[in-house]
Amino acid sequence: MMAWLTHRPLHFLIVVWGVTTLVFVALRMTGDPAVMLLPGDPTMAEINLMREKLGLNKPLIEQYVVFVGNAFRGDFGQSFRHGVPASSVVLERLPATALLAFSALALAAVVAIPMGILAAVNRGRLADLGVMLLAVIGQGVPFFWLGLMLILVFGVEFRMFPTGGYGSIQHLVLPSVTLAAYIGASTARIARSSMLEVLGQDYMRTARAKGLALYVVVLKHGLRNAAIPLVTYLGLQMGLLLGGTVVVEEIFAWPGVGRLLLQAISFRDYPVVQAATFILAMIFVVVNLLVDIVYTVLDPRVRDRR
Amino acid sequence: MTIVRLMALLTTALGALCPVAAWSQAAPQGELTIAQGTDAVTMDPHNTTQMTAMQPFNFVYDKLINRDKEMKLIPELAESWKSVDELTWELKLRKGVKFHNGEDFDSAAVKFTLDRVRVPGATQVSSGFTTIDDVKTPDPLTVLIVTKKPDPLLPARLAAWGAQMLPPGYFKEVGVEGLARKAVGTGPYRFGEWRKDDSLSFVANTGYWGAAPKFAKVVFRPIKDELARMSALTAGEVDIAVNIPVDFADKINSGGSTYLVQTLANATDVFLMGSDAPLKDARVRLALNLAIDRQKLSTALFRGFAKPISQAAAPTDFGYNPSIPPYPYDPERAKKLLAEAGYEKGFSVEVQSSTGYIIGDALVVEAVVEMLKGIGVEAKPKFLEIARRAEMLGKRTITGLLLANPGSTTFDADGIVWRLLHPDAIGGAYWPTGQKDTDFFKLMETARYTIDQPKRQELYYKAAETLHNDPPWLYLWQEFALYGVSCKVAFQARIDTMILPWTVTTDPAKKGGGQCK
Repeated sequence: MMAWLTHRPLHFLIVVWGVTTLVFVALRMTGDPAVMLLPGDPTMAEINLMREKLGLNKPLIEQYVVFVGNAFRGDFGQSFRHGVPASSVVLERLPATALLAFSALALAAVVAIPMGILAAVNRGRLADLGVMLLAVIGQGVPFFWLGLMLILVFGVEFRMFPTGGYGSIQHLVLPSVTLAAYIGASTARIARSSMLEVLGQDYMRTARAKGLALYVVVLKHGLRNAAIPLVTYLGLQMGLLLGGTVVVEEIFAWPGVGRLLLQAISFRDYPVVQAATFILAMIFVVVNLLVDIVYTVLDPRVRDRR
Repeated sequence: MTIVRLMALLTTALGALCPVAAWSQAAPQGELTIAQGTDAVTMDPHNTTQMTAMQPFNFVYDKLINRDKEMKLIPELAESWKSVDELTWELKLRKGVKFHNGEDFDSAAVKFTLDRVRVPGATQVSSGFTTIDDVKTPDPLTVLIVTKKPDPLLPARLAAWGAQMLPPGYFKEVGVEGLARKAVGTGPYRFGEWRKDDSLSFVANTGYWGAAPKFAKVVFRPIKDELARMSALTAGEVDIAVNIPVDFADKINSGGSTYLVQTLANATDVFLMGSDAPLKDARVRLALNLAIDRQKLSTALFRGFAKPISQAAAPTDFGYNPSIPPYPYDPERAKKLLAEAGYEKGFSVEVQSSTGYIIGDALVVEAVVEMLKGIGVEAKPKFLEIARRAEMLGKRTITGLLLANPGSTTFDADGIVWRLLHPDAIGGAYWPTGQKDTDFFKLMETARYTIDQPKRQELYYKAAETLHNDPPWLYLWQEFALYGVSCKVAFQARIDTMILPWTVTTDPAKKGGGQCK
């Protein structure tokens, strides 16, 4: 167990290093920020001066060595566009993204998992059909479209929620519902199928035979076992979730990292893109580590094998 | 008080800001919310060229000179300016103006600001100020600006992007990073609170030297998605929404609580022509210009919100030649010209643009491709990622046709002719007629360094003729800017697409043009 816990961070470090290096190289292969920063009609001399100012005239390998050296100290350089440290540009927007992602994840879990269980227990009956229909619709509808429809209906028509922005619970409702629908649909299906698998097990029949009530059997014996694939799945949803926030943030004018990253990429604000991908990669990796730990708690067999 | 009243008189006399002066006594009240596509990236006015940052800057900073709604230069922090000799401009500054932090605005602040922006490469706006050689301050209210060569555009530069005046003491105290986070200017609104990518707010500066601000608070909100921006306007959450797509125009006018405000903008849409061999031939370039039915495209794609052009400068620039006729749509003559140039079987060319950066760009490309096919040119659409496109422009590696929307921030043909058609420039590198030692080259150099305005105008009229008969680009049209405005406010749009503090009021008489219930 201890050996495992010490090995994992090393793996993760390699992942993060790989991601940032890939981003470093890809960015520099696909566009020149100097041109993007200057007014519409720069002369060659002005472009060269700007490249010099940004340190882009140095050989790629030298830029890379400087980048890695500074990154180790948490310094990703000054943002080309914002004129302040790139890490602070990203960190300022991180709480908004975290709030959105976690409330969507929580909402998806709270709504989708019970629905999945309900469907599994009532397999083949109306409740099952209803849940599965909803899940299929949820997966089929493009979620940016869903977001716009929610704005039109609840923001413009009924004026129940603001059409966009940040700062209160009301602001959070529409974006997190949109994002939750995006990941909730598949979560409900996974919950249903893993519960179905568990329901067919011998120990479930034994528990029922002991005379325990259905809900006790399902929630105590069933959920505990069905939760293992579910937790893994939700952990893996993190990547999907972070990708989804980019779109949702754009539609709902939500001041998060996704929206920042999108803009930073189109303007080739290297330091911001690098800082943001580094931080997102870190989050991804840490969440995966947490999932692994939860996994061992839930499943003693995994723990003992290690 | 006396200063305010004096200002009111002065501005009325100038006939420029007149509606404002009459109400300058009223206390600021209420909130104004403006929705743009993106948030400002910085509060440092010299380190960005982003339009959505320019708008808030208009509220918090002043420049020495500004422009009225006809784009004529008007005094702001400078009360007057004149050219004392070929190389020297003298400016008299407004007395008693203070920055929001209490610092005095004087000639030292002007010198500090101009010395910062005129160093090549030091800021993102320096290209506009490199003609300045020295800034002298004989007394606190007088500034002498010495240029390297005669510069007729110096006053226009002081009214353009990057000319916002900064407080030297504040800058010394907080540095470039501090300035990027918090603005201190002399403008009618003070910096309030900035929640990044969510809201940027300013509060009324009750000690403003000019007409008192109308609103107690002004908020800028970034809403990228067009439908979401429209929705925020309809739901009453914002008062002005910029960049409204033409398809929403009717809807905005029909609801009863919002109305559409439109203006011609100082950007023109053109296809730059790259290094392909056929495009070196003047007859081919003219043929392409005759192959486009601009009027039809304007109606079909933009419901008429696009004004066809047939020369490089926008109709609102100094030096635009009004006597040049529009190009006829004449595919027959275009085919004949191609045949004369030896391309009777046509040639193949890529018609390129990014998507989502110039109004209707993808539609324009598709339509132009079809029209070029009409004269036998094998045109192919190609869409570029924005940074790729910028690289083509920056490295001067354009091939085929590339959609661009140049505009002169000095509202002068110089901003097009010299900046864009110079052999070293983005739009001139591929044009044989403007290369070094040609007649056109001599003409643009002469015009650039001539102080005498009528003479300059004559030179640009001549340039426009050449640019019509031997077009370096495929000209399309001048853009419109559309705004959705709440019936709670009156808004007057300007050709420079700037929202200035005095262009938004609550004056009931000026609202809506009948669209408001």
